[in-house]
Amino acid sequence: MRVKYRNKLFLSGILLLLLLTLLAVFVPAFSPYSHTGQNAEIQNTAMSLAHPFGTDKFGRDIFVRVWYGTRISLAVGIGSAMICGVAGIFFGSIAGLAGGKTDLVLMRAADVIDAIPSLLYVILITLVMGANVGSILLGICISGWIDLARIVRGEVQRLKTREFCTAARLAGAGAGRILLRHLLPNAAGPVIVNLTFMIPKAIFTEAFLSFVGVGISAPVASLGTLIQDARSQMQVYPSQMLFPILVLCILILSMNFIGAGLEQSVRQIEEG
Amino acid sequence: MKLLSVQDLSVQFHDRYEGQEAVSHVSFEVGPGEIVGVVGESGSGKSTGMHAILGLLPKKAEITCGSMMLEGEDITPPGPKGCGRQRKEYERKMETVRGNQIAMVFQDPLTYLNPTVKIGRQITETIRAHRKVSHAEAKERAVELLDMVGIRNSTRRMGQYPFELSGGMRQRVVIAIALACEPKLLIADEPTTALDVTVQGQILELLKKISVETGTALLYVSHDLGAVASLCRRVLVMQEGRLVEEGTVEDIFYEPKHPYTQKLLSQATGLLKLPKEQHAASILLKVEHVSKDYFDAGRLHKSEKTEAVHDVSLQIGRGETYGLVGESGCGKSTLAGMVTQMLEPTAGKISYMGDKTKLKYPVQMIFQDPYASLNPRMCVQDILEEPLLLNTSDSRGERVRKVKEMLHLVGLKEEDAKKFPRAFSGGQRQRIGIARALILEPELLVCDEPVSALDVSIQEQILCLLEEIQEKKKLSYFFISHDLNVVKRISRRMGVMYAGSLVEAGNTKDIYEDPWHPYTKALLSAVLVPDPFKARRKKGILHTEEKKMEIPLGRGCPFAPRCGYASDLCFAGKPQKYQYGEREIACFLYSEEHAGKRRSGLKMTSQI
Repeated sequence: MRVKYRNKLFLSGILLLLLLTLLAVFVPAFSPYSHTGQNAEIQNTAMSLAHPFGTDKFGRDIFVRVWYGTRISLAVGIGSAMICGVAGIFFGSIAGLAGGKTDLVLMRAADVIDAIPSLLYVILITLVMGANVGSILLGICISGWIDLARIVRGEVQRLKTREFCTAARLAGAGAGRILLRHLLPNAAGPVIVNLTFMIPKAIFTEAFLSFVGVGISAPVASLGTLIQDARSQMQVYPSQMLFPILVLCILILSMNFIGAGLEQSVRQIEEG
Repeated sequence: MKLLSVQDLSVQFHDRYEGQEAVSHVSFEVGPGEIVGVVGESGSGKSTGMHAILGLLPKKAEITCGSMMLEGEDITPPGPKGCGRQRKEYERKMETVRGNQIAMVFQDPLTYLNPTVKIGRQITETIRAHRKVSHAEAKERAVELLDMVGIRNSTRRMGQYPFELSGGMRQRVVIAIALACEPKLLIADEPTTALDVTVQGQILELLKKISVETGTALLYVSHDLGAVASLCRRVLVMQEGRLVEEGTVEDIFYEPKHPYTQKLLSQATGLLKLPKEQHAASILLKVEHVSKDYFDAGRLHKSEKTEAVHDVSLQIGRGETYGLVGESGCGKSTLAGMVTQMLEPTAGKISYMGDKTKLKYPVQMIFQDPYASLNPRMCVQDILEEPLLLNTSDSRGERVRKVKEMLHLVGLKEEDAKKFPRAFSGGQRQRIGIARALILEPELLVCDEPVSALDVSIQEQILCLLEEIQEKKKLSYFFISHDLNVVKRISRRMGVMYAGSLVEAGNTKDIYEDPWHPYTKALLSAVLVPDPFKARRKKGILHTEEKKMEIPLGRGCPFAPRCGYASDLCFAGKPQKYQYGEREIACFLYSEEHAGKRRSGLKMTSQI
């Protein structure tokens, strides 16, 4: 995938994401405070040099907690995109390539899975497996791959009738080689764009679930739980809520920038 | 008084380098009721120039024009420095000019017509957009227009959708829409390129008739010199954005002055020569009574059968080129698919006598569309290497050497191996396609319309290349085309296909000189020769309106509904193959019932 670096949207998205990722990796690792360590003496302090975002009602450093939460958000976002990507591409290409009855059965099965709301999956899974990152990831992925599978299936169906595929078959290429060398590289544009948009969706879902209370449970910090924690004293200490929201917004925005930038350059390449 | 006069028109796109204009300093005039042809290869700026006249170019195009007058009215587009208000004013003016005074007919009627709207509505909407008339009046006018463009049953047709009509009918509807407001000038941009030869002739005649009857001037843009010769009075020749020659049709065709015009003409007539004699030693491919049916899931368990290929038999010898001609949808490509073993015949047998052990698919293929047949994400080296990787155990060095050799053979450079397909022009891409088909050294090559997407000059190059390679490698070709000139140019033996059946087969020379089957005759008479005198004399074009074939399956001759010689016999049963020397023909005119019991020594001649 050749991306034009003149593309401002893509570039600013990447820069923002890089900055957030670096902060998320290094702040919790090098900070003198831990994300769970409570300190009764410094409850609800305002912003200071020692605590750039202040502290919460248990005296925990919000700066560390926010960046720790970003870690979880990134892990959920990128992890779910990867799992959904692999599952969606695999499922979609089999359905598209095989066609006929196989296609019909596979896609109707996908429709059935898709028909159940994903919130229900998450609630059921957290009931069984406990409220942690793994179960949220599983809950998001269980139906998240279906959109991508539909896109891949469509692209494969469109491309497999093109003459270069017939030429490859004449040269003796098997289904696997045709798929990997001829079909998927040509379907890469829409697939990559779809995957990048999947990341912010997953991040948002995780934050939402944690906020509602079915997601990651205390004392582990996620952006959603941080916002939920700050809700009780929103009128007294609004800054405690402001920072996690801000970071969440910037994170999702950067992902959307990358997706929109990619979409633009894919269109440019396709139009020649 | 000139109808349209264009002075010093130039168009430049920003993505091009300075001075490299798509159209540069073109001036010409069109008189009232005159038919003017614009000729040039693709990329010569013909279409861009025409779009500039109508103000249809995208905003990024920079148009500079000395003056453009339509019947004394100034329709000069504002220059690149023109301010917004000037532009708006020009747009408003053009809205009244477009459709009302100048109308346009585009190449592909299927993309021009709205697929979800009935054609009657599409015509009446155009009329009502430009004139204040009632629905009933518009409808009346639409019927009149459809009659004018030769569509019978016009009231019934108005209730149909574009997909229900054949290609020629659709183009007629587009012409009807263009004529809706009695324009003074009709610009036709390659209106027959997407159509079959027999239909092409009809559309050309229609355009001529309309121009004479309504006094509409016609600007006919085409790359086909034959069509221009038979239609136009005056010709403009364009090369790389410049107008290189202008003159009457006779001047251009009989005494071309500019070297480019001479080149174009010699290429067009070059296609008319016959190939060298070929000697087929032994049979390489035998196709025996092959049929292919497709089943559509029809209503409630009753699946509908479509016969794409019906009982076709032919033989191809070693070192020989066998040509196959037919209109689109006649089953040529299905037959090609069966020969390459991509498709399984429903009945009959295809036996390949060459070396079957070396390759998985011993018959290789050259494809029609050079833009779709190469994977855009693979470089030339990878594209050419792939067949070697899959079929041989060559080392990497060996593969690279073979690729280089092959690139050299098809006339490309060694450095080209690292480039991606988008870096090449259509002709060069087709060369890569040929290299890919040849790299496994097959004995038989199926060429499925290998030149129909290319310019005439490139066509000739590719055909020469194919002949050259044939001589070097002793290859056989199964050459499929809808273009009779191309088949005549390259093959010694040929077959004519209609609606899935082979209706006539034999020596190319004999068939061209003396067609026996009514369909072959119709096809041949529709071929346009780049010679205005001959073209004007020609009158044998199939006049019957094209119809969808509505013959019950398996009964009657497929050509009977369009055939001028059809008798009751033709509708009752399918004619068999009758063999006379090397000629095979499927037509009742040559049957014993019709011609009577013959002595064995009698020489059969054309019955039509």
